[in-house]
Amino acid sequence: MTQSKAHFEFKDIHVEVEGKEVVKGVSLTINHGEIHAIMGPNGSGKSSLSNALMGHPNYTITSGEARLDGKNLLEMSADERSRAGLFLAFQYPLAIPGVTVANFLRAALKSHRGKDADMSDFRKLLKAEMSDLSVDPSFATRYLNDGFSGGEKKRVEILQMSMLKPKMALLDETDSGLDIDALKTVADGINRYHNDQNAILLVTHYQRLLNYVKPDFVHVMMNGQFAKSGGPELALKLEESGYDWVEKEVLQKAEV
Amino acid sequence: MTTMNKTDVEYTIPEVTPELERGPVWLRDQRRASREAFNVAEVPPRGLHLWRYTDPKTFLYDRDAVADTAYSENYDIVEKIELDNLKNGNIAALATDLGGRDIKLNGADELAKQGVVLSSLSSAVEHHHELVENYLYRLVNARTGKFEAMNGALWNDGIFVYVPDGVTVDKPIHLLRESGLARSSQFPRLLVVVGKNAELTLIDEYGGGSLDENEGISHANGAVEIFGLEDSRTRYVMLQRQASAMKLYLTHRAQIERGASMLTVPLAFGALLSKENFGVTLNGEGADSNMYGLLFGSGYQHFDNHTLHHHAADNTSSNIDFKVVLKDRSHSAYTGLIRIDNDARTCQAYQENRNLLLNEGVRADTIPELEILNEDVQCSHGATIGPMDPESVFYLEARGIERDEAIRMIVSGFVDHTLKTVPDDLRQRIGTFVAQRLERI
Amino acid sequence: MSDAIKQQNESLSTLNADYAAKYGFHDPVDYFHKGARGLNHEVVEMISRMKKEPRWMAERRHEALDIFYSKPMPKWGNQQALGEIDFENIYYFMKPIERQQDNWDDVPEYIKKTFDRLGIPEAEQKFLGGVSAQYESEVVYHSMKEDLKKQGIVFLDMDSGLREREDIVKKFFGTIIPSTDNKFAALNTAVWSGGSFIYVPPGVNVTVPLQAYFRINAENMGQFERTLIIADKGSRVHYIEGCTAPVYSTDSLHSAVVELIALDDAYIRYTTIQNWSRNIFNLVTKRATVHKNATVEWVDGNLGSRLTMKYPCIQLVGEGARGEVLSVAFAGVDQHQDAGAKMIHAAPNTSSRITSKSISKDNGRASYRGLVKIHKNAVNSKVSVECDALLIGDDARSDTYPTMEIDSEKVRVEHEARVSKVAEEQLFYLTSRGLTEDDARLLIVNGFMEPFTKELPLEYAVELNRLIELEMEGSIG
Repeated sequence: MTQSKAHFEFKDIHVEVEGKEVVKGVSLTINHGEIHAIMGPNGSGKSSLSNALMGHPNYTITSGEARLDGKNLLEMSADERSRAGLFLAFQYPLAIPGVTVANFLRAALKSHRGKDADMSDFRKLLKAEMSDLSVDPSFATRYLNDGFSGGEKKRVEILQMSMLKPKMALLDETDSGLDIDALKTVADGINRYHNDQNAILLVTHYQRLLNYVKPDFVHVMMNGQFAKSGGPELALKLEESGYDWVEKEVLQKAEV
Repeated sequence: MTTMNKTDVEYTIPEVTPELERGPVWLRDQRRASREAFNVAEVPPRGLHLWRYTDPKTFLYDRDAVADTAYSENYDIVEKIELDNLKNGNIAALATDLGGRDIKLNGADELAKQGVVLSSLSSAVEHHHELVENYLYRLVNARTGKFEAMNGALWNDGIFVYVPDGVTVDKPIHLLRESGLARSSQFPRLLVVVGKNAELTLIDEYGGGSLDENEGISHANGAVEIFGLEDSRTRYVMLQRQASAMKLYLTHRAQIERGASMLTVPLAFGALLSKENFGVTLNGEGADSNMYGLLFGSGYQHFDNHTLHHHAADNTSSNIDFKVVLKDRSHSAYTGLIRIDNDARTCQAYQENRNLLLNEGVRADTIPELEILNEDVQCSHGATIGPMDPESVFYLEARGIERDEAIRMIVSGFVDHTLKTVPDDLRQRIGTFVAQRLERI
Repeated sequence: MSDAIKQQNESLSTLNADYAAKYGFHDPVDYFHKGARGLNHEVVEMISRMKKEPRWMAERRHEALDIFYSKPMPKWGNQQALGEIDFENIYYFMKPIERQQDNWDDVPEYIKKTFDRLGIPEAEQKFLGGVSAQYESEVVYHSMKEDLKKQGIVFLDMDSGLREREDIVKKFFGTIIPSTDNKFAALNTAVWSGGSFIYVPPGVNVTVPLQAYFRINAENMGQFERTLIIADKGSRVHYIEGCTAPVYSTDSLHSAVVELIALDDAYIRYTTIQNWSRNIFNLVTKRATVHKNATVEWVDGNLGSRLTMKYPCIQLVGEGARGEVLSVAFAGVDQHQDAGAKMIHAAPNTSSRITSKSISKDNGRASYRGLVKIHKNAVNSKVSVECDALLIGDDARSDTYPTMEIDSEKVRVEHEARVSKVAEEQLFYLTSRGLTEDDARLLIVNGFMEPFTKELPLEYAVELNRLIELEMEGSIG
C-alpha cells in the first residue's frame, strides 16, 4: 500500500482527557471504499479516539498525525475538518434548543458548499432523505435533538451524514439505543451512503450493527491501544467469546 | 437631592459614652470612627430595596435607654439545659452572654489545651490583641452601613473564638446570648477565626428580650464576623428564638479562603421584628459555601432576611436553600443576592427560596437576585410561593389525624429536605430546635 | 417545511448590510418648526399652541412640567448612565412638515426615502392593516385600510385622535399612567407629540396588525410619543411598533408613554421592536389595565440604545384577567438594557406569565428588573416568571432583580432564572457539521431567542434575526 492510495490515515495517536492519557498510540490506514470497525469494551478509548479525530476541545491529541486525502487534519478546527470531508456521528448528540433541524441542515450545507442551496432542491432532498430513514417529516421543524428519543437522535445523525455526504464517516456507537427495526433503517442508510469514493469507520461495543453493515476489517481496542486486528470473523468471535480472550492474548504477548 | 431633614435623625451617639472610652488606642479609634460614620450617615431611604419592607427608624434608639435590666426567668432553664449538654459531652464548651455585657465561660480551659481560645472580646483584646486587632472590624464596620457603625461604636463586650491551624474542635461550641427585658438595648458582637485546615462548629443562640409589648420593646443590634482560613471547615448555626416584643438587627459576614468550606444555618424563629443579613465572601479558589435557612413565622412576626454569596475567586461554589413557613398575620421578606465578580471564573452558584403559606393574612415577599459579571459560570435560582395543599391536609385528616397535627406533618415534610442536607451530628440538634418551634405552629 | 421557514431562511441568507448603511443615514432637513433647545413652560406652551389643542390639554402639560421639575431622577438603576442625560441640550419639539399625509406619494421626498429604506409602505402592502409613521415629533404619514374604517375602528396619530375623538381621549388620557407616576412620564405628558390612538369598538376583531414606525432623525432630538389604545368589550387588536434612529455622536432621548385599556373580554397584543442607535436614552413607561376576562400581552424586543429602562406593566383589575410579558434584550458594547416587567394582580382568578430572555455581549449589561404583586383579594391567582440570560464574552454582565410581593395565601407563584454561556459542547457539535464558530454561535443565539421570535409576524422575525446577526458580528456603531 502506497502513501497516495490511503484515503484516511492516522499514526501513533495519543489522546489526553483532563490530563489523563486515554488513547496510547494507535495507527490505522483506511482506503477508499473500505469499512473498518473498532470494537472494544467500555472505557477502552474508542469514543475518545473518534472525538479527538473530529477535534473536540476536551480531547487533546498530544502526539501523532491524522490525514484525510493527504491533508493534515490536526491543524484544522472542527468546522474545517467537517468541510474537508470528515464526519462524526455522535454517541450522545446534543440538543440545541430553538434551532430547527431544517435550519440547522441548511446552515451546515451552506457552509459545505460555500453558497446557499436552492430552496426547492433543499426541500426535495431533505424530504427524500427523511423518508428513506423513516424520519417523520415533522422533525424538520422540531428543535435539533430537543426532546428526541435515543433512536430518533441516531437517525437524525445518519440523516445529517446523508445530506452532507462526507468522504470519511466516523460512526460512534450509532447502534446503541436502537430497536431492531430502527437498527435496520439506520444500517440501510449507512449502506446507501457508502460507495467506493468514501469510507466508514464504525465504533461499536457490540457486533449486531455489523450484521447489517459488513466491515472489511475489525480492530479490537483495549486500554487505549489496538490489541488485535482481523477480518469480519473477528467480530463474530468477540460476540461469542467476549473480550476476555483478547486481553489474555495481550497479556501473554506481554509476558513473552 | 434634598438635604436631610432634622427629623430624619432620631438619635446621634454623643461624644462621650463609656463604650467609646473602652479598650486600647486602636480600638478606641475604631469606635470613634464608627461613631462618626453613624452620626453622619443618612437613614437609608425606604426606596432602597433592602429597606423596602422594614422601616430603618425601627433600629434607631438611644443607647442611654440601656439600663441594667432584668433577664427572663426562663434564661436559667435554658442555661441549665446547655450546662447539662456540656456535662454530658454533647458540646465542647458553653459561653453565655447577658446583654453583650456579662460573658461567662464554661469548658474554655479544656479547649485551651488544644490551643483553642474561647473568651470574652474584652479579654481577647488584652490577651490576643494581635489576632483581634487584625480581624475585628474587617468584615462588619463603619463602611458596611449605618447600623453596623452603631454596633461598632457601642458594643460593650462580645465573644471571641479562635481555632489554631490544623486543630479540629470535634463538638459544637455553644454561645448563649440573652437579651434583657422591656426597654433594654444591647449590641452583641462575635469574632471567629478558624485557622488553616482547622475545623469548628458553632451554635450561636439568641434568646430573651421583652415578652410584652405593653411593657416596652427591647432592642438588639448584633455583629458577627467569621474568618475561615485556607482549607478550614466551619459550621455556623444561628438560632434566633427571641421573645415576642424584641426587635433585632443583625449583620453576619464570613470570609473563606482557598479550599475552605462554610456551612451557615440561619434559623429565624423568634422576635417581633427582625432584620438579619447573612453574607459569605468566597475569597479563595475552590472555596465552598452552603447556606440552609429556615424561617417560621406566626402571630404578627415580621422577618426581613438577606443572604449574600459573593464569589471573588475562581472555581468557588455556593448553594442557598432558604425555606419560609408563615402562619397567622406574619410577614417574611427575603432578598438573596448572588454576585460573581468579573475575575471569578468557572463558579457555580445556586439559590432556592420556597415559601409555604398556611393561611390567609400572611405575606411573603421574595427577591432572589443575580449579578453575574462574567460568562464562565453556572448559575440559577428559583423561588416559589404557594399555599399548603388542602388535598394533603384532607388526606391526612381522612386517616384520622387531627388538623393541626396534619399541618405540622406537612410543614415537617416541607423542611425535611433541608434537614437531610445538614450533617448528621447537627441534624438532631437542629431537628430539636425545629420541633420546638413547630409545636407553636 | 413551511413557507415561513423558507422565507426566513432566504432573507437570512442574503443579509450582509450593516446598520450604519441601512439605518444610520440621516437626512439634511429644513425643519418647518424647530424649537430651541431646553425645556420650560414657553416650550410647552408653543407645542400646545402649534397643535391648536384644547385648553385642558395645555394645562395638563404645564402641570406635568412642574411635576417633572419636582421629581428626582430615579435613585436605582444605572446611575452613571442616567447622569449623562442633559435635559437642557435636547430639542423637545420638531415638526418636519406642515400637514400630515395619507397618500404616500404626497409625503416629502426625503421622508419618503427614509421610510422606503426602512420598508414601511412595503410592509403595509404585504400584510398590515394600517400604518402610521412618525418622524421626529410628528406623524408624517398615516393610512388605514378602508374596511377597518367601516368597522368603526379608530386608528389615528395621537394629535389627530385628540382633535377628532376628544371625548374618548379626555376620558382615558393619563388615567393609567398619571404624570405623577415618575419623572419621565411627567416629561412625556408635558411635551408629548405624536404616537398612536386606537379605539376598537365592542366585539370587533381586527384581524390584521396595526403598525407604527418611529424614527429620530435629528441630533439631540427628544422623542416623546404618546400612545393610547382602548379595546372595548370583546374586541381584539394587535399593534406593532418599530423604532430606529441614525447614528450620531451626541445623545438623544426617547421617552414614550403607552397606555392600554382592555375592557371585559377584550384582547390586546402590543409588539415593540426597538433598535435605537447606541447614543439613545430610551426611558419608556408602558402600562395596561386589564378588565374582566380580558388579556393583554406585551411583546417587547430591546436592541440598541445607550441605556434602556423599560418595565411594561400589567394591572389585572378584573376577575379572570390574564397578562403576559415576553421580552428579549440584547446588550452589546457599552450598552445597558435594564428591562423587565411589572405584574399587578388585583382581582381573583387572574393569571400571568413573564418570560424574559437576555443576551449580554462584550461589556454589555442586561438587567432583568421585575415586580410581581398579588393583592389580598386576588385569590386563586397564578404567576410564573422565567428569566434566561446568555452571556457572551468575559466582560458581559447579567443581573436579575425580581421582586415578588405576595399578600394573599391561595396563590401560586413560581420564579426561575438561569444564567449560562454558549456551551462549548454545543459549539463543537455545530462546528463538527462544518459551521464556522461564528455561525454556530449565531445559530445558538437565534435558537435561544426563538421562543420570542416565533411570536412575531414573519417580517419582524426576519428583521430581528438580522439585527442580531449584525450585533453578533459587532458591525454596528
